[in-house]
Amino acid sequence: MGRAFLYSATVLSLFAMLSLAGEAGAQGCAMCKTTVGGPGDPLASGINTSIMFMMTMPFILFAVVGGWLTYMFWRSGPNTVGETGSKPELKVLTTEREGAR
Amino acid sequence: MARSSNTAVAHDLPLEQPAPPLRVIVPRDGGPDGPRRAQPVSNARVAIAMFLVAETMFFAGLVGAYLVFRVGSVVWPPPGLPALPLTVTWVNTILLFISGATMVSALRAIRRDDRRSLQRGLVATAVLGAVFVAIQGSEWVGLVSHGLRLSSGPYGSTFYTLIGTHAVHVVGAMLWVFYVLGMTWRGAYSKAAHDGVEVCAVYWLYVCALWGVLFAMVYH
Repeated sequence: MGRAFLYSATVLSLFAMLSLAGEAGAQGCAMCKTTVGGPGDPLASGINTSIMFMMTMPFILFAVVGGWLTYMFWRSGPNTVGETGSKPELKVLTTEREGAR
Repeated sequence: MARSSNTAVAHDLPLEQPAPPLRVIVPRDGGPDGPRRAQPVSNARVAIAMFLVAETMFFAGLVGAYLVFRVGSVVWPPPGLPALPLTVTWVNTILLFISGATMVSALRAIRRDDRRSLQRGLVATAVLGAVFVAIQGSEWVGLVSHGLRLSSGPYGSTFYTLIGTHAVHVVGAMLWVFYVLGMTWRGAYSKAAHDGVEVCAVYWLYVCALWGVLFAMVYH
């Protein structure tokens, strides 16, 4: 019940945000605006390509390293002893001292 | 032997009462001394992965700068400047890829506990790496004599920066291979413990793969 409500609320909120969003003009920094002539300028194409390339790299790296780590943990299997997240148990240890008996 | 009056031995003293039992909370898996889950990834592997992530972002920045000029230019290479030598570089690329294969064979050798083959593989890798750098150096000398310098605009500066940075990485990887080779002669690695060889091999293969990307982007 609670989870279904949460999912529904999330989907509705996303739909509302996307449908109500107004148009926004793309902004560029002052340096890019003065350097790049316009949409037909080859330099604009170069800068866009470079931006797209550098923007994708962190995502690719995160996916590769995260996927590798996940695979390694998955391959190592579950714990051999005990249950994951089990509560600690209380053990009573006795001390033995020489000559104390 | 007589004892003085102010000295005593242990059995003369009154016995201490036995200490109360200790109540220790021990995790169900046996605690620090109990059987543990095997570490899925060694610390060395995680370290080299993080290092390679940083290296990749560094080269991504350089390639990004190169792309701005390459894609943003109508004519590439710019008029009056020499084209890059493709045939020699193809041969050089094949040599570097062969060095990657020899490094893999060295890694497989230590996994079989075959130290002689490990040493042979490392020596072959280092020699091929040195040949790669030497050929690239001679190629640079030719390009400089044809007028392509660091000051020859974006074409020269991006070429020398990208390819030069990679060459520095190859030299660094070679030094690492020599270090691993020295450790091998001292008997440092075995079938059970060869993390040092493994991370060195990973770095060498990374440098080889990186060259493949740079060669495809810069020389074509």
